[in-house]
Amino acid sequence: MLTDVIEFRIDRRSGVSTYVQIIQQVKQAMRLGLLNPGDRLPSAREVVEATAINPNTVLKAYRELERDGLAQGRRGLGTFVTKSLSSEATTGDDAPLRQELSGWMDRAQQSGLVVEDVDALYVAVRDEHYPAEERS
Amino acid sequence: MNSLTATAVGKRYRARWAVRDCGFAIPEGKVVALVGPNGAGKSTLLRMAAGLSRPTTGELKVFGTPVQGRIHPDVAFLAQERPLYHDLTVRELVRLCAAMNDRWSTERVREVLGLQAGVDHNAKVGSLSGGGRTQVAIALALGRLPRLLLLDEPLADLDPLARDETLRIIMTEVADRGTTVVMSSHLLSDLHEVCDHILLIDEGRVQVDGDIQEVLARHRILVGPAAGESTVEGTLISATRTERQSTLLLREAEPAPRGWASTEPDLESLVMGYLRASRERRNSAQHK
Amino acid sequence: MIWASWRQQRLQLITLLGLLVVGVGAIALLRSSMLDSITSSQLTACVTQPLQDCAVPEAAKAFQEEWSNPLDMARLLIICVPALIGVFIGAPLFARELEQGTYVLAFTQSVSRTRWMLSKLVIALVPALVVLIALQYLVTWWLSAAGTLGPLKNGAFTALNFGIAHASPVGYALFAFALGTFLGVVSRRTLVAMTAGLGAFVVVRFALSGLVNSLVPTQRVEGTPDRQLTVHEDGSLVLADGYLDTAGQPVPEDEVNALIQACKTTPAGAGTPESQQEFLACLPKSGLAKQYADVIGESQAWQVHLADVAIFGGLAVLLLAGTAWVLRRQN
Repeated sequence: MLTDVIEFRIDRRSGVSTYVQIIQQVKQAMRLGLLNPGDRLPSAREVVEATAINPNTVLKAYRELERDGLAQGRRGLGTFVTKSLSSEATTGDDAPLRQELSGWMDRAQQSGLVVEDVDALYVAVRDEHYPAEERS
Repeated sequence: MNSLTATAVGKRYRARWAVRDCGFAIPEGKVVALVGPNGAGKSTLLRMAAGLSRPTTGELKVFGTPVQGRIHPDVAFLAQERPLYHDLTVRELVRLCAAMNDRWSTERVREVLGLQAGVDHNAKVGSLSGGGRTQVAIALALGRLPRLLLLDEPLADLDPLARDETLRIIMTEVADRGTTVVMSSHLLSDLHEVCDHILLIDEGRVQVDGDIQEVLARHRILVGPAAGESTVEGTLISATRTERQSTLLLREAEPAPRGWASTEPDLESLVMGYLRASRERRNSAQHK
Repeated sequence: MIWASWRQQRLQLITLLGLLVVGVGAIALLRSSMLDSITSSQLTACVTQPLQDCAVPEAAKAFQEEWSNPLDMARLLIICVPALIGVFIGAPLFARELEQGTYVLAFTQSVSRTRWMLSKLVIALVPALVVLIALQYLVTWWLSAAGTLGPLKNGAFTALNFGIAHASPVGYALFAFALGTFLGVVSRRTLVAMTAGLGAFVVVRFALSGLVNSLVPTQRVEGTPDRQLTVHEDGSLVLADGYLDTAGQPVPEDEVNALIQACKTTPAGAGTPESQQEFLACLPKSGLAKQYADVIGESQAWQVHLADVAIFGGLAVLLLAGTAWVLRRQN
């Protein structure tokens, strides 16, 4: 029996549809190295037992991941991660980019920025570098 | 194959049409939200699909077989009134239903009842709370091992915890057996998280029918200057207007003209738009 | 399905069983106590002979005073049980399902409506009939022990004796039961079905009680006008009687009265034996040649019972067909 690697948290108030939330959470876990090639995604039944959402939605999200080439369904076994989204730059607490960002946060904190200021700055800078239409 | 189809179905009670000219097809494996205001004809439609009442016009088919005066063997029905024999214990009621069915799984009923907190098998059905009775009734419906599960207001008298338990049981059923589920509610919020297909009816007529994502993708909410409404192209469903601004719900809209903001509606605003339109039609019909 | 129907009618079935047990016990006790009383009063011989031949008329009278009430109660019980079956078993059978909406549960299981209905009918009706027949047998057993000292001396055609004999009680019970179920599915209210069922049963039961006699062929008994016909005494059912003229045609009643009146006013003067003889001799002379009576003999009583069962049983079948029709159309 494979143990569950991740558990989905469905936010019913977010306005983001359930299947998009599942896709986002799988990708997030892959980026952070929590899900690696060969890992099995929780079965629809496991997700349903944990969150009372529609299993068709889970399957639809998995099909979307398959279309993106990130996962593959194997008949009777489940859906498995086939690709790695994690990189040196994002995995682990000692990744260089993460450390640089951490240093930046320290300086922001010292200069008295509150969390809303930090978020606003981050979003503004992010949008300069990654214009909206390029993001998926 | 479609699990449930309706062709020009109408039901008249004396002078009033409870359901009129309803046509839809529900593909197998869908979880359908049958929504509409109170008195829209949801219960009438479900009772006809369960073979409890005959349509005045048209025909309903379950897995390709016309429904004629009795329930299809692959259908289980949860009635809104939760009719159960109150003087029997839960255990006796389960045995009674077992005796009345050719295909039956007492194990499945026990399993479902086991997932629900606080249903004592030796308690008289009449001594259970409204929620408890609903849970027993759902367990009995699942005992028939249905391929199509018709649930009339399944969540109406459940507290939040029981609601979550119940949805979990129904969704597990879908995951395990690929059961098609049609759930009615007058509260969209009860259902829209778990359903992938919507059947909106009002005044006994189908207003919206389809896969929720597809339905949403076909619609647009456009917000723009009140003066520029004529530049917008598409089928107008409903509109709210202030002196300067118009908010329009459109089907098959063309790209928004300059000065208009276009977004995909969420299910809530889509349903509200259709119900508002239906009410306006009704009011204008009455004023004539 | 049998368990299901049994479980749902447990209360009625247990009540029926209780009624049977109490009935058996009570009747057996009463009967043996009555037999003791017959022996101790030296009435044994009077049980089989007409009362006027009884050697101890005083004791016979005392016995009748003591036992006529209990025996009448037993007869009334058999008269009432069909009505009770209709009210407490027939009427609630489907009315309660319709009233409480539980028929929806039954109609959404795989058992067909017809089978569901039949199994309920059978489980409700058969035990009720068995208990009724058992009680009827017991009461008859008790009554026959009293013989001519008891109500049987009044003949098979008196209302109480007729109503508890042969297959008639079963016919009434079938009718009462079917009437109850039919009113139940039509009214969809248990209480309405029970009360209306009782009322309708009583009305129909008495309204039709005369009809049955006209369905069985009668025999014409004739005799001379000077002696009363024996059929008036032997327990036969007399449906018509009067006088025939010389051509053998019945004489209309007012004419008979006028002729009798004319014969009474003969010159010999009233009250004397001569006047009585003269009166009797006058009758044939004035055209009242013979007396006649159209009768059904006591030995033909079974035919009347069969006609009775046919009428009430036929009505029951119609009502049950109506019940089935209404239930199948239920929506």
